[in-house]
Parts: sequence; C-alpha cells; structure tokens
Amino acid sequence: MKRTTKKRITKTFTCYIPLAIVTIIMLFPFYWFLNTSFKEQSSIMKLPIKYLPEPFTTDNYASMLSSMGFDKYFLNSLFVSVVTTIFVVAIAIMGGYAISRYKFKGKKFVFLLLLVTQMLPGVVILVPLFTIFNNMGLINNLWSLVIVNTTVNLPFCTIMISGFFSGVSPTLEEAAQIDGCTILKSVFKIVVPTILPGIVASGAFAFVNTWNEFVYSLNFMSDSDKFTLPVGLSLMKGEFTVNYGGLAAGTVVALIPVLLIFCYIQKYLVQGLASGAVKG
Amino acid sequence: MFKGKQYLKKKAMPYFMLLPLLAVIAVFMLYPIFNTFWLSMQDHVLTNVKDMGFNGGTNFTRLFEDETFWKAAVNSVFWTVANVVLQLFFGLLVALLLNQKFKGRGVFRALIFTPWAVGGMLVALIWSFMFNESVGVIGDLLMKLGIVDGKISWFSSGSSAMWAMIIANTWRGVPFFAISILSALQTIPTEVYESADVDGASAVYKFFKITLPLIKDTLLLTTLLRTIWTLNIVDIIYGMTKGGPNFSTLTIPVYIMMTFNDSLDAGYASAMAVIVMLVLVIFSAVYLKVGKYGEEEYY
Repeated sequence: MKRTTKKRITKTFTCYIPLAIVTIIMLFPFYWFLNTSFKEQSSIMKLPIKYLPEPFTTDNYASMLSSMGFDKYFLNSLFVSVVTTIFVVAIAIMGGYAISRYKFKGKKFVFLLLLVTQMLPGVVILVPLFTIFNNMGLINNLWSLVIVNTTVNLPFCTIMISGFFSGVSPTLEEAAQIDGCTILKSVFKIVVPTILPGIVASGAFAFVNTWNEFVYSLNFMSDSDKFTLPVGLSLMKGEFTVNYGGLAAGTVVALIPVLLIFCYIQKYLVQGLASGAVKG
Repeated sequence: MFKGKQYLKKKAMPYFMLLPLLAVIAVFMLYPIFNTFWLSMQDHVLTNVKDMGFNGGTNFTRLFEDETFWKAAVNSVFWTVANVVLQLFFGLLVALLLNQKFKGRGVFRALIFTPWAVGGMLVALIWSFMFNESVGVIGDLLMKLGIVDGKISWFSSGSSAMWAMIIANTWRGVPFFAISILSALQTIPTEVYESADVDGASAVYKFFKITLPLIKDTLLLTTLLRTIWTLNIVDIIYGMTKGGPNFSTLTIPVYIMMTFNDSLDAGYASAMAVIVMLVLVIFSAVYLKVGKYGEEEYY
C-alpha cells in the first residue's frame, strides 16, 4: 500500500507535472491567437491585457472574410496545395513501387539521390528557379508554385511510400498479373488500396508543407490576387498600423486545414521517421 | 521471341516508373544547383542584359569585402547553433517524457506535437504579437511572475530580437526532435532495460549507458538535418525582423533573398548560395565522420 502511494507520488513529479507544463507551453500560442481573434480591436490594444475575450465578438472573422483579399489568398493556397498533393502522390506511387519491387541497375544511386535532395535547402536554388520559370512564362502564375512544391516534396514522399509497398507481400499483384492484369492496373487496383492510409499520410505531408511554403510564393508571385496565405498574411502585418484582430482571425482560419490534417498524420510521422527518412 | 520481349519489358519497367520522378528532380533541382555554380561566376543582373557574362571570381571577392555578408555569417552561426542545441535538449526531454506509460498518451502526444504543423510565417506572426512591447502577452507574464520590472522592447536591440526569434523557432522545432527521438526510443527492446534492472543499474546509468548509445545515430542525423534546415530558414526571420535592426538579425539565406529582390543581382546572390552549399556539404561530411555515424553495432 505504502509502496504504491510512493510510486504514485514519484510518477506525479516525473510524469504528470512536467507533462502538464509542456502541454501548456506548446498550446498557449494557439490559445492566445484564438483569444485575440475574438476580442474587439480596441480592447486588443488596451492595457491591462485580458486573458479572456471580453467583450466577445466575431467581427474580426467577418471583416477578415469580407475584405483584404483573404478569400483569394485562401483559394490560391488551396489550389496550389491540392494540385501539388495530387502530383506528388501520383509520381511517388510509381517511383516508390519501382524502388520497392524491382531490382535494377542504379537503384542505390536513385535512393541516395532522394536522400540527399530532401536535405536541399530552398533559398539557395531560388535564383535559377526564378530564371527557369521566367523563361517558361510562369512567373506570377500559380503553376510555378505547383511545380516547385512538387519537386521539393517528392523525395521524402517517394521514400515513405516505397516503405509502405515493401510492407505488403507481392503475391496478390503477381496473381493478378498472371490473370492478365497490366502492371499499372494491378498496382492501382490491388496494392494501392491496401496501403491507402499510408499514401494519404504522405499526401497530407506534402499538403502541409505546400500550405506553409513562403519563400517561393513571395518571389514568384507579383500580383496580390496571386498571393498565397502566408504571403498575404505577412503583408497584412503592414508598415504602420496592424489590425491584430483581423490578423489573428486570418491566422486561425489558415491554421485550421493543417491542424486537422496533422491530427490524422501524426501517428504516421512517428512510424515514418523510424525508417530513417526524415523531414521537418 | 515472346520471351525476349517479356524480359525487356520487365527490365525497362522500373525505369519507366521512375522517369517522372527523376525528370522532375533533374530539371527543377539538379539543374538549378549546377546553374547556381555557373551564375556565381557571371555578371548577371536581370535588369542589365548587355553587361552579362563571365567575370571570374569577382562576385566572390566582392563577397569577402562585404561587411554585411560577414555580419550575416556570424548571425547565421549563432542562430543555427542556438536553435539546434535548444531544440535537441528540449526535444530529448519531451521524447523521454512521452516514452513513459500513462493514460491518454496518444492525446498528449498529438497536442504537444501540434506546433510542428504551423508554417514559418504564421509562427512569425503569432510570436511577433506575443513579443509586442506594449500589448504583448510575454512581457505581461514576465512582469506578473516578477521576473522583469518594466516593459521589454524585444525588437529594438539585435540580441533580444535574435533571442525572441530563437524562442519562437524553438517552439516550432521541438516537436520534430521529439518525434524523431521518440520513434527511435520505441525501437529499443524492453529486454535491454530488464537485464540492466536485474544488475541493479540506476536510471541515470541506464540513460547514459543504454539509451543514449542506442539512439546516437538518430540524434546525429536529426541534428544534422535540423542544422541544415535551421540555417536555411527565411520566413520566420523575414516575418519577425526582416534582418533588422541594422542587419543585426540578418542571416545569409535572408540576405540572399533580399539581395535578389532588391537588386536582381543573380550573380552575387548565387555566389552567396554557393558558399552556403559548400559549407553545408563540408560540415555534413565532417560531422558524420567525427560522430562515427552508422559505424557501431549494438546488438
């Protein structure tokens, strides 16, 4: 009896208390912006600082959605992220299948290439990419962002998906191929459905990265009606006055899609990272 | 005949499947890398077509005489080291915490890892407001706790602005370290600890003699990747300080982007990019060599 109480006390100090502190620190910034987004503009800038949104208002959301081009930024981000995700998943399924199922010359090289390129930093190839898209006439065109985000996310997603293929025995698709199924058909009709949750997770990963991408969007888009959310929101931080209520509301809305997706993929991240393919 | 065709088809199939992947990477990643090296030795200002051409090492000599570049180099090292060290330390603590058995572990794990999903620009917006001098919540909390007496003007001096950004980025970066370390911790078989328990080993001994050596490779790889990515962060710095005040929080990647934006000098910006790439390649090689990555067997 005494021993279990002692154990429980130790557990409180080594586990529950630190856990509570860490959780509060990690979640507080979210709470703070949610709180700010429901405050009246005048009370945001007034002292003392209020830790609850009193008086409560949804005006910030209304003004956010009706003005400042927010809906445009949101739709641009959505377009780039969705199309990028589709491209990444389609290309990564084929590449991942090849790496997982075939023995071929140069396989080691391909794998190494994927590992090295996922380390590649964004801004050092900004200049040549700008020139390429300029020559293609794709500056100020959302397709340049689709292309660049697809490229950046492909290495990691291919490695991740090839790992999922390797987890499934090839007997099913071989049987289908003997029955006269083409290879592509057998892959997409039989293997892909069995690893679908993993594929969705890799796609979600590409979506989150694309949704958050800033540097390329800032440099490749010049008209404000082509801006994505991060660029649009960064401009709202304006030079002189900052509408913090509107900014907070916009940030909250911008966070919703990625947080929902994150809930779904977080358990795959722990698994996916264990295989050594890492990307943050 | 039929058999030969079938054989060829099977041989060629993986290459067909890899073609889109390799084509995209070659055109939009490998070519730009080579192009950066080429551009770094050119006079190449996008608005000045008639003076374009090879200029030898002029961009590089200009670089070495550019005081802002050296300032940015020092800032880059400080920014990267401080971030990686803090994130590694707290990430390890969080991973050990979450590796214990308790009720609701999955929920807490998801909650604690959420900052991972927040984009750099949103991190910048959220934390700029929290660090705001007059109505920022961080100053208010510090005063309430009695840690400071008056308001802190975080962004008026270089060092406090730098620390404000490091704190913001650490908040976002700890989950990544915790995720990687936790996934490594979960691969350690429990029998290893059980036999140590039989020998009466202390918790500290177990951590340093069993846990740490077993997750060493993960720690090495995670810190290396994080070093590269942290150095290359632009959005948080651009969003919080734009490198100011007086270039005191400017890092080289931000300088590359701003140089390219302001002057469209592709040659000069590329020279900086080349330096960054070379430093990173050399650093990675030395780091993995010195850390003896993947050279030891434990089981």
